[in-house]
Amino acid sequence: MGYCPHMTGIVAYGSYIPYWRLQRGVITKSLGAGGGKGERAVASFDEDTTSMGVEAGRIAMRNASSSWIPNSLWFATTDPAYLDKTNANTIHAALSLPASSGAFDAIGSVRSGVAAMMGAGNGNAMAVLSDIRTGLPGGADESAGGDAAVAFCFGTDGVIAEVIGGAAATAEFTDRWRQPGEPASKQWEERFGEHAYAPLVDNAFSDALKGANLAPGDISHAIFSGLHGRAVKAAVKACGVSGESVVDDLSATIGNPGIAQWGVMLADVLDRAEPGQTIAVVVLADGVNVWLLRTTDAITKYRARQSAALTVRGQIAAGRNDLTYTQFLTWRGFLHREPPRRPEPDRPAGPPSLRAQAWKYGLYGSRDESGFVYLPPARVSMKSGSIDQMEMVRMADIQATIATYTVDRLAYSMSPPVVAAVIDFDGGGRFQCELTDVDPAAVKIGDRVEMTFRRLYTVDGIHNYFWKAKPVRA
Amino acid sequence: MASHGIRDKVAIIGMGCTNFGEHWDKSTDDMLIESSDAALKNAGINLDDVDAFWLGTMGSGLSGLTLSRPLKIQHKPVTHVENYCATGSTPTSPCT
Repeated sequence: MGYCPHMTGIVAYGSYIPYWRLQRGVITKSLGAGGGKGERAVASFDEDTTSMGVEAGRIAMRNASSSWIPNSLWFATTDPAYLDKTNANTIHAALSLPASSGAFDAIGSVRSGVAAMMGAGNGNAMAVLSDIRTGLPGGADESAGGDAAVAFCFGTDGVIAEVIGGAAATAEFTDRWRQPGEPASKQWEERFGEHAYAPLVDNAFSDALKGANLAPGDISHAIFSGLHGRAVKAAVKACGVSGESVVDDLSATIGNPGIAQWGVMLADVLDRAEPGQTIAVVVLADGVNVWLLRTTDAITKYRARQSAALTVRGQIAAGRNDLTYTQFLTWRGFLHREPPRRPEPDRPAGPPSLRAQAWKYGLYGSRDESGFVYLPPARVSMKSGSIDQMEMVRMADIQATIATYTVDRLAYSMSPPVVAAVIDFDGGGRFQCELTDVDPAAVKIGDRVEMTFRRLYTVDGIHNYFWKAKPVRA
Repeated sequence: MASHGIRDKVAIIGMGCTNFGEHWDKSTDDMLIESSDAALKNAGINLDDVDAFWLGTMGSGLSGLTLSRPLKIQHKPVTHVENYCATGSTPTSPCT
């Protein structure tokens, strides 16, 4: 009998597909090798797995009921921004979770995502899976990889998909490996991995079905995921589920976002599943993990509240695919370019970052008795001179309008030009910030923007996270 | 040589001072607000009653903005003074 811990159900979820796409044909054209057909999603130069995790978490929490508060946050990625320092803490701060909530990383292996889900499926908690996947230029991992994040909120109130069973199978074998700090992983001969996974798939899948008293034909949506393409294909065949139940892995449009792949596929299923449908998730990662879920009646009402633009397919459709190969290589650190002739920024200092935590991570402004909103937050009112009579306001989820902007081709940036704008938030508050995911030629006064959590730069190994604005595309 | 200053024509009417220490939880803004508020209360006047400001700091900010921003001073002159270790007494020396 496989290992399936008792888990609370999914009450909300959110996916995040970054804006940029690299057409695989562009790789082939540049190198005369590699690449292929279709596109892969690419995290912007100012994104990392932590910042994408924040974006997915924000969408999930927006979809969750206002009374749902997680007692813990579990973050999984194979490409962490930090070692030693907990990456989940940054997400915790950006989501303004209470101090009593724990924040934990499960990082390094692709299977860590499974651990994060198990950790979160306990009471009210959140799992965030996020990955940036690439490989050496011209290789299969580069073109097959994808960047994405997904967040799942677990709880007992308003469950839209309950966990009805599961199983696991584990074996120690050298399929895929990577030393910390290396930019790409290595793989043993593919047929070996296919051979090693096959019995594990059989055991875990049959254990899970047996435990839940189900047959393969009872599954409406079958998710098969893993970095070993051939083994995953073989698993689809071996499990005997119906052809129409097999969920599109979206590799043609966004690539394979590693740790987040099955989570994005599950989000895609939940974006369109009917109540009472059984979902099987089969994850091939140094063993096999199987989950069985069933959607509830609550999913219909949940989906009615969700914005179509924020579904997986909605975000895939809103991508931009004219990214050049040199930009892609530069953003992923494979092309070390001449920096602009500007002094490097200072490293973010610890004490002010802690003091200003609400502003820096939560984008909290302050509002005085007259209703005037101060960004960054102030203690003294400009109108009355009163001190500490402010109400703190979280600006991160409020939209704004561009009052003016400039395109700066000299300012320090990993991907010039810098587009800076002065934006006016709905309900008050004027703020000067950088625009991102934007075409400098298309920016106009009056454009609507929304805030996005980004990594501005890194100095002395310290990442400077803060908020930028991006065009509202819905 | 006689001083042509305004000595004996001016009085210190209030004072405010923060604790001295490693204030991890207080920013420059916070210390300026705290000490200014204490001084104004000590003198029994409001910020609006003040006609001009001199801010002495060597490492915590440039220009009068360092003071006018946190205190939200409106339409009054604010001068930044710096004189290495004598920075502290320099803002008051024009008054002697």
